[in-house]
Amino acid sequence: MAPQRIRLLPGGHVVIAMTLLLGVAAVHTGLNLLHALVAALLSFQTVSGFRSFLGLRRVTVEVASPPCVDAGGETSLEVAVSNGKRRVASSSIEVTVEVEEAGRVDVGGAWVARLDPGERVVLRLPVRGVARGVARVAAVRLSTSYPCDLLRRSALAPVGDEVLVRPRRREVRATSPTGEDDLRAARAPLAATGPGDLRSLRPFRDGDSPRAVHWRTTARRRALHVREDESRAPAAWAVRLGPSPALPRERVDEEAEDAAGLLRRARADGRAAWLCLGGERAPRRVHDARSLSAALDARARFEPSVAPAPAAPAGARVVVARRAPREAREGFAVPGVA
Amino acid sequence: VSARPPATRPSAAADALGARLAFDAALVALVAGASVGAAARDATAAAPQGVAALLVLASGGRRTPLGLSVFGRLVLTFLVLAASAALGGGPPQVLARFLGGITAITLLHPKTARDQGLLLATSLLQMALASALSQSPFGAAAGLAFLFLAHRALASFHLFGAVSRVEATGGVRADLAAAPRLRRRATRAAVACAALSAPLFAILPRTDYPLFRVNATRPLSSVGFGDEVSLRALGPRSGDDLVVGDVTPLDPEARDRAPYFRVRAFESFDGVTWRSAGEDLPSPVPGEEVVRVGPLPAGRAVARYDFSLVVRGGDRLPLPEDAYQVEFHDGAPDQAFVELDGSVWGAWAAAPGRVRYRASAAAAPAPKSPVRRRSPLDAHLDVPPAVDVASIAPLLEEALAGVPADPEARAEALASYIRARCAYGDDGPTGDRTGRRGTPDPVGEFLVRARVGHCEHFAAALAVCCRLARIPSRLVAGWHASRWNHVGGFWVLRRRDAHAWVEAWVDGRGWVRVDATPADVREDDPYRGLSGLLARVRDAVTHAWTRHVVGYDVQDRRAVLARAAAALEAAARVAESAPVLGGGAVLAVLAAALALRRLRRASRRDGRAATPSGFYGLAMRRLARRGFARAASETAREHAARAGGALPVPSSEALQTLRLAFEDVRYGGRPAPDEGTVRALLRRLEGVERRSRPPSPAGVPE
Repeated sequence: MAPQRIRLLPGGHVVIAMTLLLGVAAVHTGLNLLHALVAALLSFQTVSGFRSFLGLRRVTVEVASPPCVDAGGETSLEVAVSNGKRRVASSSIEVTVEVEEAGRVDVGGAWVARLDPGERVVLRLPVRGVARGVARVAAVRLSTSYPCDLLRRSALAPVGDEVLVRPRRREVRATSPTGEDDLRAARAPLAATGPGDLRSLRPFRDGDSPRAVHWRTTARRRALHVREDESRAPAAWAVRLGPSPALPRERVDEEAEDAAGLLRRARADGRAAWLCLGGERAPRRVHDARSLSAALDARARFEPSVAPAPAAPAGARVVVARRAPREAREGFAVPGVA
Repeated sequence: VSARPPATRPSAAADALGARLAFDAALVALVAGASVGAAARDATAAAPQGVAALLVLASGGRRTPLGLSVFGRLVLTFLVLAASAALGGGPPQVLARFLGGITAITLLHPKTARDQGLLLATSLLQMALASALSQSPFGAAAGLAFLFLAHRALASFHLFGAVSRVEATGGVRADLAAAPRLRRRATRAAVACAALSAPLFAILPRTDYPLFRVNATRPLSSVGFGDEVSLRALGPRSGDDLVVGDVTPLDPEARDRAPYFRVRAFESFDGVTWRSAGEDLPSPVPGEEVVRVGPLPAGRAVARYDFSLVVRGGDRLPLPEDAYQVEFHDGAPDQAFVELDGSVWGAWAAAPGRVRYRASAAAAPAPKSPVRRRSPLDAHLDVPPAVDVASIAPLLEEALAGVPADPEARAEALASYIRARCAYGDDGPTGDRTGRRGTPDPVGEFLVRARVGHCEHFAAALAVCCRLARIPSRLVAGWHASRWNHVGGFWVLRRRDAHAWVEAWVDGRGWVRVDATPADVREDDPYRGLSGLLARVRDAVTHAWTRHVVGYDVQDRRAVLARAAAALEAAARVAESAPVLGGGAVLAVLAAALALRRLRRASRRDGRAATPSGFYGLAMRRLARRGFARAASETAREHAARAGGALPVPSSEALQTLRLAFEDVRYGGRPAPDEGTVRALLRRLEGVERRSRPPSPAGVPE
């Protein structure tokens, strides 16, 4: 913990002003009861400062930041506050998280009423993703103004973590640059024309043919699974993201969100996908959950570049996002983190 | 512990804390209002606030009868100010009423944190006003109550604010059930505050010449001794229990002496009235804090007394017998006259109210040194023609029959005879309380016919008898303090303790006190029964309060500081001795080593990050200070590649090692490297980077 700092609160300003005023009045009137009142005010400030000092002394924090959060989603940041004192309890500690790049995430505070000697309490602070990007958790600030709200004493605990705010989850429809709707083809009943070479298994979705159900896996996993044949596997997508640096930030974010939506959709459809990011030398392949996560992280960090996006691999269909209606987008927010 | 969504309105817990805050603030306002009302002696200053506070208390702090806008509050405030001025009284009363009205409006207004802060501030102002207006010890009880209640109210204020703040951010609250406990624990802070106030009060600066001195002492009684004593009925003064002052003996010698405190001696008697001999007053002693009234008691024990009493502007001061010095602590007179009989008359341009002085007296007369006459004693043998000597002479013979020729023994024999012959009565021999129909010979009336009188009759009769027996004598007026307070260790002077006795001249000893008044009357102890005990405690509290708090002045402060300095000097002298010095040095070295060790541990603890991967944050912070800030779009690997390329090899290696460790901890779930390793890496990173220039990475915003 960094050394404690003190900041006067409005009540402290009032008390100090009244102490000075009454002190001058006491000295120049010779009224001893005014002297007694001034002494009480001075001791009041002293005791308040000492109590708040004791409250934060030997209090340590440990922070476990979430690796990422979706914009519009929520996760939690764990802060474990421990009182290392052997005899004295700490009272009324407020915990706030200082985040660089403010506006990326919104981290709620916490209040611990009492921390007994040696006690450790784990707080799950809500972290709400606001905008795509990287939010660095700079420090956790412990502060207390107990018992009288005259001054706020605070101490900083440095934190070196960063939270990736992934693009907002949006429902998108994929179209080719020529306008052909590719999703309908992707949703065609896979086993309608008979089995071919098995490519993979995936959970059942509405619209799948009952003949495609793989009963052995369904029985084993106790949930409907269907098979995907190699001959009917959807074509790979190449999702390009290379907006000009001259575009406004909001527009870049929207494009990144759309591209992320396409990647998620491709993954949900069991379709291979390539991410062609402007400024990178080669496209990234997205074929499983881990590579999707890495691609979404790359989306979170993406900054427009003058360098063009790499060319799409052979055989991959280049797709762009067509935005869903606004009302549908606003209602589409899935809490939780992949 | 769970998270809550951002609150649009306070939760039930915040509402309950708000009600608790309003309840506590109303209690504070009630005490402050009662204090200022009692101090200003004005019920209108306390009534509105008291009613408002009771309304809030009755509803448990949940309901607020008024719902005014800011404009409405301003109008109401103006009306309160006008009403305060219209009700009359001095500025303190108007101010007290105005503060009471403001507090009442705030109490009845919907609660916000700012309202509660305003309420506590006005309550503090009210207590300040009460402190300026009242010197009563009951104010101390009110002040302590205010201190405790204000701490609880401020704790409620704090809890309400903390919970509201965390709810506004949608944060989490841990152990909310402990909130009432925190509120109760705030009283510990009040205890510490009260304990710390005492030494602070003692060392706060005072000035000898205040710019605008205010004396708030209320005169307790205004009895004084005039220039004469007339033998008439005692009047209402006889039963008057009003306190005039008190006397505290400071030495065992003072404690053991009889509590006679002289005010003035009278030599001339015309049959009814005793007056001074008409000698010219000596030159006044201007504005001195120490007044010499007699010769120093060389080689004799000294008895010292502290007097505290109320004077009006020109009064004679009670002094112990054989006093030789008066030292004023508070309220030194502008002029002091020391008269031949050893009495002191002080003159004040403005009535100072309470006067405090220390009187020193010889504890016993010099046994061998001859006492010289300070004035001709002829005047002390005169018997006025109005006295019926013929009727008194047989009594005199009867009283002195068989008594040796020693003047002191003869005077004592006369006193015993009068004491046995006459009874004590406040009305005197005339039976007329107003004294208008006084007899021309009250001494003869008292001794021969009525045989009833009060102390002045006893003293006058004894003085006349002494003079008839050729013993120079004079009547002395003063105080006989019969009320010894065991609790506080002082005598209380009340109006009814005014007394008269006789001083007879004895060659070789000087003036000797002889008191003819019956002892059972003189020493009647009013502290009897349970009420007496309560009165004793009350007097002790008042005495202590007046002496140690109200009367604490510049000299007391100097004495306290001098005692502290003397104690330090004594400790320094002890420390100068070689063994102590050596031991002290060893202890000091050990203490310094211990403190250094703790400091280093604390420093290590302070430098520790709050996360397992926090060491990487520390490294990034240090690199950022040198111009190698990590851009938002950069991964740790990219940043290490960029910065490492511009850094010399050792620091680049350190950065790569830190980066690998960070990735292992953050994404691989491995433990963080130990602190020593991290510190070494950071030192390598920082030491080398100072010699390199930061590059400007292309395409990476700084």
